[in-house]
Amino acid sequence: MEQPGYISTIYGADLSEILKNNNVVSHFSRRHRRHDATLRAENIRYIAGNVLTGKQMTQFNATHFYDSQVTAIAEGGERKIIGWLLPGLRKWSFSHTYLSWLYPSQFTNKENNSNFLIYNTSLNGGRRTFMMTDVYDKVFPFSIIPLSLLKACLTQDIEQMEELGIYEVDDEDFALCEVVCPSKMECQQIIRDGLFLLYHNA
Amino acid sequence: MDFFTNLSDKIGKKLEKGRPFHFLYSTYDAIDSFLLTPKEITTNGSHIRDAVDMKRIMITVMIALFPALLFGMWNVGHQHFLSIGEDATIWQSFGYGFLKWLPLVIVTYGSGLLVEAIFAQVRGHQIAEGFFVTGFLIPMIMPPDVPLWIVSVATIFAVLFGKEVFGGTGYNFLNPALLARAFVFFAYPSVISGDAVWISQSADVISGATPLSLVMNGSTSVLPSNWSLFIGTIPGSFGETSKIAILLGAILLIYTQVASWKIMISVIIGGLLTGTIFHATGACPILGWQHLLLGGFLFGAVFMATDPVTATHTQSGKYIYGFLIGAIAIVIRVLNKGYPEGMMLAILLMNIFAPLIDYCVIQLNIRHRKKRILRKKN
Repeated sequence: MEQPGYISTIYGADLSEILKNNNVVSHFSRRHRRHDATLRAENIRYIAGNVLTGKQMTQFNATHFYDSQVTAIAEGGERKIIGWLLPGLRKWSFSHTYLSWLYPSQFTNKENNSNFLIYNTSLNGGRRTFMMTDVYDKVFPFSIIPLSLLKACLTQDIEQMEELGIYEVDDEDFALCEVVCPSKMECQQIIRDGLFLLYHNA
Repeated sequence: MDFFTNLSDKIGKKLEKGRPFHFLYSTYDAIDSFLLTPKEITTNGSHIRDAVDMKRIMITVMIALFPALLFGMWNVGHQHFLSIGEDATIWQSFGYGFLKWLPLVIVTYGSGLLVEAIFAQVRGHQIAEGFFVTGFLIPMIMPPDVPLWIVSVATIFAVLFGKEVFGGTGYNFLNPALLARAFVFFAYPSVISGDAVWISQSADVISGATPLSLVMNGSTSVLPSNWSLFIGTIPGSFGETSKIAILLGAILLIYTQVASWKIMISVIIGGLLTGTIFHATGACPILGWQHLLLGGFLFGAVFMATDPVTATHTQSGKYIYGFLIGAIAIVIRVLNKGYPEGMMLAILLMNIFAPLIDYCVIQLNIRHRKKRILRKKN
């Protein structure tokens, strides 16, 4: 957004009114002009909440009772030739497989305190089976083995789920696992399904 | 850019289900996602995703393998010219090694990807990237002179029975590259036996016992100097000889967080400790740390044991898994005189035990959690 800030409003306020004077489009296109020339008004995703757990909304949605934050982010999906082979200087990654982790701080745009890295809604890969599961343990803060819990949820083994600590977690606790997963697993959905199963069987 | 995207979409539509050429769809899909980054966007859950995917991880492993491979190409040529008594420049040696490697890798990828593509099409899956690394590893752990049909049969066996019958990449419990080598080892022992040196087309006079088997049979005087073992100017397969190149690969793998440093360190500790114990008891004439420089120990520790699918998945399990690989490899080396190189069997054995280790760690975690709940209640 051009002017990020706080607004106090009523429940059910029209989002388009709020965003009217906040020129999202021009801001995005200025910052990404060279890299994302195709970015247009329809290429922006509005999210009620944050980028990890929020819900997608259209520009003309009204704010809900539980909404306290609106985030705007560029839509991805642009196809690049052999993207997995390029050095990836502007790609954000938790792992160090792209050269962007070497990025010195002078590339950070100090004016609006935002990073030069591109964040968008690309999935950045195809869905695979669980393979690189080390990363889960790096971002998961509880003394729970995240992979085992996910597998217990997938196999619908309620006893195992309880023993591994399903009662202590919520789906959004797995949001970071989902973000960093190279196999593009939908960890939040798996946990949500597990909790649902538990609810219906308890 | 748009031209390629549109072209790809057009071809994709022609191969959709119900069309006559649908059987090529998974091949098209593999090529498409190979050339262009995927167009999928997030629909559910978190809205941004890490830029890393399995392709990137696989290419990182392949980059990590390159120092060892390039050195191996030169070394295979170097050993060849050395054994026939000819002088050769670096480029001649390198060219010879390259021409030995190229047919191997073509045959491996050809036969392996064929099996992968057939299974992916039948299952309606995408072709997984796992085979890129497997197919790269197989030529690096075979003798340079292995007949191509054996490599092909071994690759097909490894992909089919090591991976696809269990459900494909991610479901396998044995390292497919090592399985291919084990297949050749047991089915065609004459081409890969561990006690004769591997020099490509050597003169008969030179070919003899490997340093490892000589050492295990009690003669340490023939051992190459530690320095040449470390640099890698010794006969062997493409990947294993140069320890310095393997260490370069290991640094990249650890820095990029692709392979687990816990496994690498614990394999080395397991090997060192067992080697030292055997040396102290007099069962083995060489020092514990010299074991690390011999044979394929380091290559196995860095590239084979760390395969994320077949290794243990729990963090504390990785220490046990790695330690036992190192220890068992040295035990096989020292106690089984018939087969001096124990690394392959040690890793395959621990691959089988990895789920058991995981199970134990998970049960410990469950017990720990139960205790904590009881403590809170009181």
